Amino acid sequence: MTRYALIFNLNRCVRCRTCYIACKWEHGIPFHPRDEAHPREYYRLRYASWEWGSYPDVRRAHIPIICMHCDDPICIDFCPTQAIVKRGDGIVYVDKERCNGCGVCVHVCPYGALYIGPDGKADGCDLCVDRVDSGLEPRCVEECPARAIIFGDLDDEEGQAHRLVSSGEARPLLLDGVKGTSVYYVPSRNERWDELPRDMNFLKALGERKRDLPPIKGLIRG
Amino acid sequence: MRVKVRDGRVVDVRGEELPGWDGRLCGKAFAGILGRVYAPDRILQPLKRIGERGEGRFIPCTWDEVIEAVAERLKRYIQEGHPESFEIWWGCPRQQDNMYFIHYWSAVMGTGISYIHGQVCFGDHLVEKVVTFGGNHASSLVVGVADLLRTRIAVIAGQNFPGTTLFASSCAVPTYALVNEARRRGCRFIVVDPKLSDTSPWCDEWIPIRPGCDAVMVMLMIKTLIDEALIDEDFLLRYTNAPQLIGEDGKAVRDGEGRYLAWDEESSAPTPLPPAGERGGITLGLGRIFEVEGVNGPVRCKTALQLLYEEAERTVREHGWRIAEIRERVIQLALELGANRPSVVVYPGFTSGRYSNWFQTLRAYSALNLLLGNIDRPGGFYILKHAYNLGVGWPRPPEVPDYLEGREFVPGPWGNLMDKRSIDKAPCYKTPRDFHPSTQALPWLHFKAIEEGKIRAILSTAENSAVTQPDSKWVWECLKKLDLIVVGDQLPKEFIDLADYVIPEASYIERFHLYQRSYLGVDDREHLIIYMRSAAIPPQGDSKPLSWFLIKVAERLGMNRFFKNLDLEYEWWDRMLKEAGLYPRVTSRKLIEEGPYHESHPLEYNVLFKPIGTRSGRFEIYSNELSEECYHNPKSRWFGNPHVYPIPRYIPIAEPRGRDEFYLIGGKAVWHQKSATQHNRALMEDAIEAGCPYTAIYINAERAGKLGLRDGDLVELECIGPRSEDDPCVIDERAIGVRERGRIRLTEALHPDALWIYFAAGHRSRLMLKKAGEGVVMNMLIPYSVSPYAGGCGKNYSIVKLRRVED
Repeated sequence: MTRYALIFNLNRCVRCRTCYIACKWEHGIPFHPRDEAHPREYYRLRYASWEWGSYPDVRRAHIPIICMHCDDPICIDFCPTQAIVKRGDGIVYVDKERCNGCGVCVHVCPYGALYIGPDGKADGCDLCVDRVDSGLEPRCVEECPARAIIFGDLDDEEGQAHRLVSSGEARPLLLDGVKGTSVYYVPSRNERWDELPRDMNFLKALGERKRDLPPIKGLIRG
Repeated sequence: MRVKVRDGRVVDVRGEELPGWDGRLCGKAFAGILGRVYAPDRILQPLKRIGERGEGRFIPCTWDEVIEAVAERLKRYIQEGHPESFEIWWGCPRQQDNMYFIHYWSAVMGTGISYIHGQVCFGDHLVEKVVTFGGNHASSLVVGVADLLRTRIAVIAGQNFPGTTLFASSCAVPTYALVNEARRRGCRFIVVDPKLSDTSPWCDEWIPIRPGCDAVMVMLMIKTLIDEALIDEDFLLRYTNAPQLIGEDGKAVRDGEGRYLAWDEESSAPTPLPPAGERGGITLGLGRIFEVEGVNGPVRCKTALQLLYEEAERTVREHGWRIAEIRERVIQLALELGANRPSVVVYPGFTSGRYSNWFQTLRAYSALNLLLGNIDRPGGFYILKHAYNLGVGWPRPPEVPDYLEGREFVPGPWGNLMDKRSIDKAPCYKTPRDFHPSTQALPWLHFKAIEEGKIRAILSTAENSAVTQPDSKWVWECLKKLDLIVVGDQLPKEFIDLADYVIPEASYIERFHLYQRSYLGVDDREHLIIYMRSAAIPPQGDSKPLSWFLIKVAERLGMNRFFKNLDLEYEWWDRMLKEAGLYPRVTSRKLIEEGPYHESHPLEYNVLFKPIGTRSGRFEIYSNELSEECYHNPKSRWFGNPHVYPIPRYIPIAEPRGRDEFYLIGGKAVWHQKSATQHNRALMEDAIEAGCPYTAIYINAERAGKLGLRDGDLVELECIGPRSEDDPCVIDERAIGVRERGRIRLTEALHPDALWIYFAAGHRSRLMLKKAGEGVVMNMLIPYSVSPYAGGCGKNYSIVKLRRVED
């Protein structure tokens, strides 16, 4: 069996934003400043940046946020058209044929990891599923100049992903209600990892881009 | 970088398969394609101004119209005997069409040319390194190349490290690999900066320093190292002029043959300072006074090291309070550095931290590193040993008629040649020199020449002087006086708003250029690559390489005999490869078809791989050049000026005084592409929206609270200094009283005395992205000042008053 995992090593990450741009390049996600024609941003990968402590004992943290590929995705529960699919290997993706663009998933995702694209459909990180299925790594992994992103099969006991996760070095970011994910982080000295789900500075940074969510179209199931 | 092209369009990019890159690129490589080559606002046809200068109103025109306008103007200047009234201003060597050709064109036509960006970038830093270490060793040290795989402690000041790093003398990708591997091997990275910048949290420790006080910190370290006997005596005796004898009058003592002297312990007598590498029986002479028989009787003298110690002691005594908050940590760090020498580096940053005392501050950093004996030693700074002399590729007779007769050319930026009589070079070659020959340009002299009507037309390419020079108001007023402004680029920028004609330049993947680069790899080897940028796609729209335009202008003036057979795509670069002895093993075509030429070499620690090019032949703690050319030279305009004092010296800078006054300082982001960043929407999108917004004015949260300010408040900054009475280096005060508005962002990660903004955070062009109208144009708020002799004019500090304004 295969269980994919993507790991951000925050000790190696130099905050260069290559993953953000490479992701947009790979998936043809448009760049533009927000304006009237484009009221929201389009992204599969974004960042949460925050600081804590007080001068001069202050830390600054900066972590990439993508679809966490939750073990039990709440977006699937809420999607009225069953357009969000979770595969046996853990990859979660949006079936564009089924998506009606209602935006419920964007609202319910606790990580703010989904968005409505210029085609009016929901979208989020699918771990570059087409690349993965043809034996390649996700583009962000391939491009990261600091080699801070690791992709692998947790069931491959020889692999780096297995080693990092099984040793506890890489840890999931579990917000309230989320029991497990396929995305992990190797924390650095900057994040206060265990406190993150209750860290108001982090939660504010995470929510910064949810401030202008799209209106929900149509009815919500049950 | 390799690009995949389908139907004439770039569909994918990859890094080269070279050590360090291994097929990878950084985000800027993608952004260059998305946000420049295929930018929706790319300029694709020549434009002619229809509104007032600055309005940014244009209509399309033909190339022929622009060629005729420039040729007509230049013809008039030539007929009047002043072709130099026409100048080319150029900027980035890597965003620039054939930089050697534009110098050749300028030489043939007799026009002026200036690397006007260079001096606001690294010009004064390069001068400092040449003055202290000599020309053969300067270039590696100015970018801080370090043997990081063996380094135990790396202290980096004033730089958004590791984001805007240059440590490997390379682009970002191999450098990230190197610094991450260094840390894995145990190197500790410490940043010294008033702001905990974007990528600096990657480092192990942040030392927040008060703006402008680096030299106080360094002097405290120097004093500590000497007090605790943690200096590298053998290195100082062999390779530096620390033992050189300096008389009570502050001048070097010499023997009858003019040789610099040291004190020989065995004979208890002065002796000529031995050649570098030899130490003989000379002493560092700490705490001692020597008596040497001079022409006019005995002269009391001390060693350069003793003078440095006395300077450090005085600085700590008089100014130590300025760094009181970090004093204990600095002392501790000095002890750690001393204990781990020579496998430590203390790098002052490349271009940031440029206060008016920056030149002497850099000198102090260099002296500290010399005490640590870390130049070309394991784990210390590394001097790259391998590079080819490629020349400039200028054609010679009989290929072209002789054009050099009666002219004298001297070294210019990036290996170019420049006319010795030109604005940038004449002051560097008079006696005594006003400025060091390694200055990249003397921009303010060009602005003054415009005011005096001596420069009347500008062709600007790959630079944006309209806002990248300090005192933008002055510069803007000067530019408006020109008869003709032609600006080339791919994207809109401020200078274009002022242009009479805009020319759509082919981008970097639509033309040809040869480059060479040496760097340290994560495989512990020194690498050298020579590579060609070639036209992977045709020039988009009606864009053309600048060189094509210049040749057309020359043809119109009947000068085509100099250009008619020139092949700028291949032969020009082959000429350079021949100069280097690489041709035909390496040719421009092979580089394009087969990829970069690459060689690698084991690291070689050898300080004396080339002679040390200073006046004493040793690395100079006491600068004989500064003494003889400037400080002790009554004919020099810098006679007695503390900025050129031969021993590193802390010079206090102007300070904010009121509760609403601040230092205004700035720095780069990791994704910065100089001032071009904000023209590139692929780079700017996340920058504008993410948690560390690009256009904000950052302010210490507690200071903001005391002023009743909240996050997101709109404020106005008014420049109140430095004035020339506070800082004699200030040559124009038009920035005083200038006001700029922006929104504040509260942060704990900033020294309370400072406001901080990103370089090029604010833009004014009406043609640029809508979002880009926000933010402060920092250069509007910086009075123009010039560092004596080093010519540093690119300051990133001023004093401002802040007040809240209503939305």
